[in-house]
Amino acid sequence: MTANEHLPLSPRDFLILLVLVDGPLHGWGILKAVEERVGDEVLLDPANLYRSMKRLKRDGIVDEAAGQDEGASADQRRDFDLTDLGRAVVRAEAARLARLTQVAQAADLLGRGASGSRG
Amino acid sequence: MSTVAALVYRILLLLSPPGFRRECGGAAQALFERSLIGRSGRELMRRVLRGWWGLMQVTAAEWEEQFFGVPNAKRQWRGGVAMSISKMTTLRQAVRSVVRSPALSLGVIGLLGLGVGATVTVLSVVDGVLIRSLPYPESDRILLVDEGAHSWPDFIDWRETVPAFQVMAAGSGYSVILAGDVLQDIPVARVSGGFFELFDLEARVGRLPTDEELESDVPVGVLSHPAWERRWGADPDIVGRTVTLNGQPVEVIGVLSADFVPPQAITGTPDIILPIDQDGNLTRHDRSYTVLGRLAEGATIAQARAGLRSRAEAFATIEPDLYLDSDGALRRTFPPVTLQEATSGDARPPLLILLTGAGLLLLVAIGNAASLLLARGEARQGELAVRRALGGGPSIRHQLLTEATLLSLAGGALGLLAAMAGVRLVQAFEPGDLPRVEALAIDLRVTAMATALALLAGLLVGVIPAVRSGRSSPATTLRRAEAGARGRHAGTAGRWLVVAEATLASLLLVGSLTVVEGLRGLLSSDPGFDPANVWTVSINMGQLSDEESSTTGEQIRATLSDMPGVNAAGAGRTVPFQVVGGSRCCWVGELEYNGVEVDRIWIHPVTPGYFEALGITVAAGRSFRDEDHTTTNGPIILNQTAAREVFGDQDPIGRIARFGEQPLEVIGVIEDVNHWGADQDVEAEFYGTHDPFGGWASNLTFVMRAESAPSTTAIAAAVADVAPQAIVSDVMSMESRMSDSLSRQRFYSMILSIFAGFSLVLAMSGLGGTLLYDARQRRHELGVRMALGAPATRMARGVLVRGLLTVGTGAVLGLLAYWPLRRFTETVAPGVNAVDVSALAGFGGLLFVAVLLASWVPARLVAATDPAKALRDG
Repeated sequence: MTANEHLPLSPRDFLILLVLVDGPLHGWGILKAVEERVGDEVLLDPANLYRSMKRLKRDGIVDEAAGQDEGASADQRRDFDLTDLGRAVVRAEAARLARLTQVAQAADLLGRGASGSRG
Repeated sequence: MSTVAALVYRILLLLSPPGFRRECGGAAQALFERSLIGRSGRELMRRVLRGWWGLMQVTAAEWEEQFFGVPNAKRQWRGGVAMSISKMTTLRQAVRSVVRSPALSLGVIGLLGLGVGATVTVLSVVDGVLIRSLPYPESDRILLVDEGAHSWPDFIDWRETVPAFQVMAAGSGYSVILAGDVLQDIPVARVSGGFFELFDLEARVGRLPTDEELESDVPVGVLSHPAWERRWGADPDIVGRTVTLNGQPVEVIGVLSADFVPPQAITGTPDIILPIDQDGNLTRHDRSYTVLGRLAEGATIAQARAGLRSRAEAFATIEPDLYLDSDGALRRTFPPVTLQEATSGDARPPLLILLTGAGLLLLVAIGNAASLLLARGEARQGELAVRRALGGGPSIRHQLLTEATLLSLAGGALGLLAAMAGVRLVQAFEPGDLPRVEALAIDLRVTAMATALALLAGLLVGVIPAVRSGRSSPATTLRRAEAGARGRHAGTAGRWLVVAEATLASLLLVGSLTVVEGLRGLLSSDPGFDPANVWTVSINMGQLSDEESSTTGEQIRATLSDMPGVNAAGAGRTVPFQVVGGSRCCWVGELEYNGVEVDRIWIHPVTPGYFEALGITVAAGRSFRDEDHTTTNGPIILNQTAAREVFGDQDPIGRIARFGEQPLEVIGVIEDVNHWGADQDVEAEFYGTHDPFGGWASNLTFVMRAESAPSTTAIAAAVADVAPQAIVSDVMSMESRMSDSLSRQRFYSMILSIFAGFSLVLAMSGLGGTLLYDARQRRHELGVRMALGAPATRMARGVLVRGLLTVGTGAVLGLLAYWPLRRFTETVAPGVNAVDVSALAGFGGLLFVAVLLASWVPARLVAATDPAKALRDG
């Protein structure tokens, strides 16, 4: 499967993949990183997170490795990391969104040109 | 809060498919718990709800995958970020849909409210009685040394030699006579040093006695806070005053703080706490004290157990007669139990049964609510199919789930209200032996439980319609909806729900009928004496020497038997049915004859006239006579069990048995008497006219056989002539004592019956609903058959047969499920027969009548079908 076949990503999957770009994280790390990026307003809950990870793993987008801390609790025992495909997918999705954003900007929906005149 | 939330999460997790649970369950649980750490207030609440809700979404989605295979990427369940806008829409739609069919919604809410209400009521009782820790600092480290009361020397030894305990205390409850304008019988406790340290107590007024004072004969005492308010009007100058207890002056040196709850199991509820009175109790034979200990820092209950056991072994080398039985094994090992266990004690098994009963009722209510929603889901097939055809599959399921959650939360709120009423009812009607029942309250924990239960119920109720909505292809459904036909599946699913309801209801019904039947049997069983026309009255003769007690007791007995209308009078330390519910009172020892020893024989000090007044049959030898009374080491009378155990086939009359060092002559054998209650086994017992340990109790219960009830005032007046200091309690008939003795079992069986009744009504209304639904669906078919000449009565009979088959299947399944559980009914009412023929017959009859009632309307509807009309409409 090529990266494009996985598009579009759900916003949740996209956020999860985004925080994994910087390196492997365990469940708690992902949850925290997502919250840091989008603020407290939206919470990603544990069950949905692991369900997503299960699916992303199955699709070959993320990979799972034993975490460094063997004696830790169940959520810290496993680290998740992007596969090469995963990296390509998140890049493709970002590009797709960027294109869409450009369209939105062109339509003057994002407020930047609202006060200017179309001279 | 976090603990409860985590527990709920764990329970919700159990509902998810096993595959998901194995792979992700542990991690999700750990992550959920971690995400709550350090949060509080609204933030905590938001995270908890988000976590629960997310798990419910995932559970539904995972089950869907199980049933319908892996969805493609476009059909993914979109929760989380994407849902933030559409969630509001879903919620609005769900609210609209709930409000649009108020009757159905109220029905579902009412059903869930009933189920949740019953369950939460019992849960809060279980929580208050069994789970919630006792109101003492680090109460789980307070242990009670089991195996009844202990001797003073044993206690002193443990205190000095068992290092696992930081502090130990001994104590015991009594009643004494408080002098005043009128004499009053008040409860007091005598405690050893260490008692106040163990419970970390403080004085509200004045000071507490020192450990030295508690183990000397300094006459000081502290008042309990309630007694200070009630008896002494919260007098601030109470400290330094003297009160007279049993004729002895005692100086009040303080009042305990208001929040101290006395440890019921040890001291009762004392008005005054006094120094321990170890006078005359110094031998190891005298076991009068309950012993408690607080575990030392770092020590475990296992260390305490080992320490106490090794002391038992040491005691056995000092006094082998006392600590070893005839086989050389340890008679006692003094196992420690937590005070919590000791306090909740007997209440545990029946409460767990009630909890099961409430859970079954909840399941029946859930089944009923689910079938209501299912029926509506069928009616909405058309609407839902259109939406699904437009690509709204996931959001439809989401909405159905949201609807069920809304309904169940409303049901939960109703259930909470019902539980508040339920707890009041339990407090009002419980027979007074449920520990700590007065402190029950609906608080945050109980509310959390109700919410969790309601959410669980909502998931169960909502998941069936939600899954069904994704089952068949929109096109098929639309075509069918167009043609006015309904799914055959709905009928089948509905019927299976009724079978499930009938199974659960049968289980409850047969259990509660067995208990009720068993109690009736116990009440009518022969207690070994004739309770008719027997009246009992307890008399506290005050502080008297042993000899005075004995003489005064005899004088009172003579006075009572001379009263007009009284045919016979006697007295005992206790009388039958006075001490019941698994407790025993007063004395137990060993009796030996010719090398055969009974390890545990109960001793009843009684006066002459006791057997005659109670109508106990003397099977061999003779009863006590007046002259027996004065004899120390006097004659004894055995019950038949004791005669058999000690003497076997020999005739015991005239033989001398040994009680420790004392030779006691057996002069008679009486028929076995149920002294400790109808539900208790008869043990080896003997009766003597003196206390074999020396001394006579100052508190006796007199029994009178009389044509009519003697008045309490007349008795008090008569007694006042011979014993002016004595306090006479109210006269009570033996029959009411017997009936009261089973009040606890009756209380439990009443609750169980209420649950069973509700579940039967629910199951039958479920049956009625399904049959009605069926009849409507088959209108066209019925019309055709009737047009072809089938008689209406046969069609109606068909409905009835269908009902009987459905419920019959459930009843058989229920009985099968009851079979392995049947022993548990005994814990509600020990001694009941687990398989009772009349209970089974009652069960069958009740169920049959219920099915007839439930099928009546649908059958009538079918019989009244007008073929022409049915064909035209259909």
